[in-house]
Amino acid sequence: MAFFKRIYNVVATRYVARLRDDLNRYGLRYDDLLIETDVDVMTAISRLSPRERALRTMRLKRALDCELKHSWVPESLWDKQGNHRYLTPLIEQARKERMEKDYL
Amino acid sequence: SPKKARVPVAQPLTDVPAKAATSVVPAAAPAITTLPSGIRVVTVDDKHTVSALGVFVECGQRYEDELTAGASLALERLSLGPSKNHSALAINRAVAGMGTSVAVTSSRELMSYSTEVLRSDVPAILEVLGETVSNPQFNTWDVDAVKAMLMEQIEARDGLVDEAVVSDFAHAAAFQGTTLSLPVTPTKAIVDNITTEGVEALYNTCYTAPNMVVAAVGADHDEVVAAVDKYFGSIKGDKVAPPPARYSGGDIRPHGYGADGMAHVALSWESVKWSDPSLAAASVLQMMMGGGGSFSAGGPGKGMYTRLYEQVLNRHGFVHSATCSQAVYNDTGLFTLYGISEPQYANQLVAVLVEQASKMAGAVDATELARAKNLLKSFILMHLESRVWLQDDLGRAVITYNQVKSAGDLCKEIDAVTAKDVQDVAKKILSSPLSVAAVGEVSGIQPRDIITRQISA
Repeated sequence: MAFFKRIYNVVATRYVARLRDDLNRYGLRYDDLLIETDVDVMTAISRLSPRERALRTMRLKRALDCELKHSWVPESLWDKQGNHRYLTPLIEQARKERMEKDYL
Repeated sequence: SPKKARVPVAQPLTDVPAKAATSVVPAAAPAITTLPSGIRVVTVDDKHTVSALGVFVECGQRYEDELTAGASLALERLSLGPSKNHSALAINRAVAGMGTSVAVTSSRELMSYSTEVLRSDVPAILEVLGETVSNPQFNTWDVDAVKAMLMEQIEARDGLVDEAVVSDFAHAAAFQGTTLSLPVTPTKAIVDNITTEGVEALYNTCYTAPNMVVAAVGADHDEVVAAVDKYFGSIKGDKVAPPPARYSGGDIRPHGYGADGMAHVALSWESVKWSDPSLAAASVLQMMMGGGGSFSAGGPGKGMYTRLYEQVLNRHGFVHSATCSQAVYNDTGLFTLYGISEPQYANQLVAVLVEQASKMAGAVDATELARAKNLLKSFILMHLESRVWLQDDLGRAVITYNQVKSAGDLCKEIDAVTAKDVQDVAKKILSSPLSVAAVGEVSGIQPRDIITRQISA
C-alpha cells in the first residue's frame, strides 16, 4: 500500500508542478477554473470584494484571449499570479454554513 | 343556602382582613461585584423562575468618529451574527432553543442586549451573549447586507418625520461639532460611511471590560458571576471615555422632510447631566410641562393636567402635538419643547412654545408641583415592577453611578423637590443658548435670534 502511495505522490507532485506552469503561462489561478454554477462557489465568489471579482474576470478574459491567439502571457508575469487557491477557504466556509443549515 | 349580605363595591368587606398593598419590586438590595478584568455584575434575586438578563456596553454614536460613523447602527444589527467559533445560524438556534430572543438596542451612549430566560438557562444564555460580545466575526458580506437593509429602511421612510428624527436634528443643532450631534436614526450619508474596518474599529475601541455591565433580575448572584467570569473573561482593555460634549446651540432646518405637510418645531436648551444634584428637579419640571398629542383619549396618568395640555393643547386648536422631553447624558443634557402644527400656524406655534418656556421659570402652583411629583413617582414605581425594565435600570445605574439607588430613595429625592428648586433648574436651563430644529414645511418660522429675544425668563 505504501509503495502505491509513493508512486502516486511522485506522479502528483510532477503533475501539480506542470499544471502550475501551464496556468502561470495563461495568467490564471487554479481557483479561477472552478465550476461557476456550483452553489458554494457562487456564494464564495459573491463574497469576494468587488476588486477581487473584477480581477478574476479580467484574468479569465486574458486567458481566453491568449488561447484564441495561440500565445502566452508575457514571460515577466509568469511567476506573479499570486495565491492559486485563494477561493478555497471561502468555499469551505460557505459549504460548512450550507451543510449546517441543511442538517437542521 | 345562607343569604350573603350584599355589600356595595365601594365599601370594604368587614369579615375579610384588609390586605396590605404589596409591591413586586424586590426589596433586597442589589448585589454588585466587580470582576478583576473590570466587568461589573449586578443582580437582584426575587426567586422567580424566569430571569431577566442584560449586557450593557458603553458604546454608541458618542464614541464614533469620521472612520467609524454609523458603525453603532451596524453593530446593533450584526449583534447575533457569526462569531469566530460559531456560525450565525448556530447562535440564533441556541437562543431560539431557549425559547427567547435577544433585544439589542443602540443609543448614543449605551448598547444594550437584553433577554428573559428560564432560571436554569442563565449560564447558557450568558455563554451565547459572551460569545457574541467577546468574539464577533465581522464579515464584509454581512456588513454589506446590513447596509443594504438600512438603505431599504431609509427609502421606506421616504422623508417621514417623527419624534426620533426631530430629536436627532435637535441634537445636531444643540451639540454642533461634537459626537452627540450624530443621528441615531439611519440617514443616507451615515449608512454610506459604514465599512467593515469602521465596525471593527468601533468594536475594538469600546468593547472593553471596564465598559461593560451585566445585570440580572431573578438569578443567583454567584452563578451569574461565575458564568460572566467564564464566558466574558477573554475581554480585556481599559475604560474608554467618549469625547466631551459641548453645548453650542444653533439652528437647523433640513430640506426633504415635507412628506406629511406639517411643521415640526423643537426648541431645546441645555439640561442637567446624570450626576447633577438637580436631576430630580429637572425631571419634575419635565413632568409638569408634560404634553402629548392633541388626538389623545386622555385618562388618569396620561398627563391631562400638565401645562402643555392645559395651556397649549386645550386652548389652541392649531397645535397638533406639544411635548416636553428630556435627554440626559453623562456630562450634559437636552431639554426639548417639541410642537407640531400646520405650516400656516408655524409662527404662532413657536410663540406659544416660547410663552410656555418663559413661564417655566415663573411661579409654580402647589397643586401642579404635587401632581408632577406624583406622576413621576408613579412612573418610576410602575416601571420598576416590570422585570425587564428593572434589569435595564440596574445596568444603567451601575454604568452611570457605579451604585444602585432603591425606588424608596428615588421617591425621597423627588419628594424633597420644592417649587424653588424647579424654578431654579428652569432658569438654569433657559440661560443656555437656544437650539432650534425646524423640520417639514417651516419656511415661515422666524430666525433663532428673534425667537431668543422673545423668551423672557
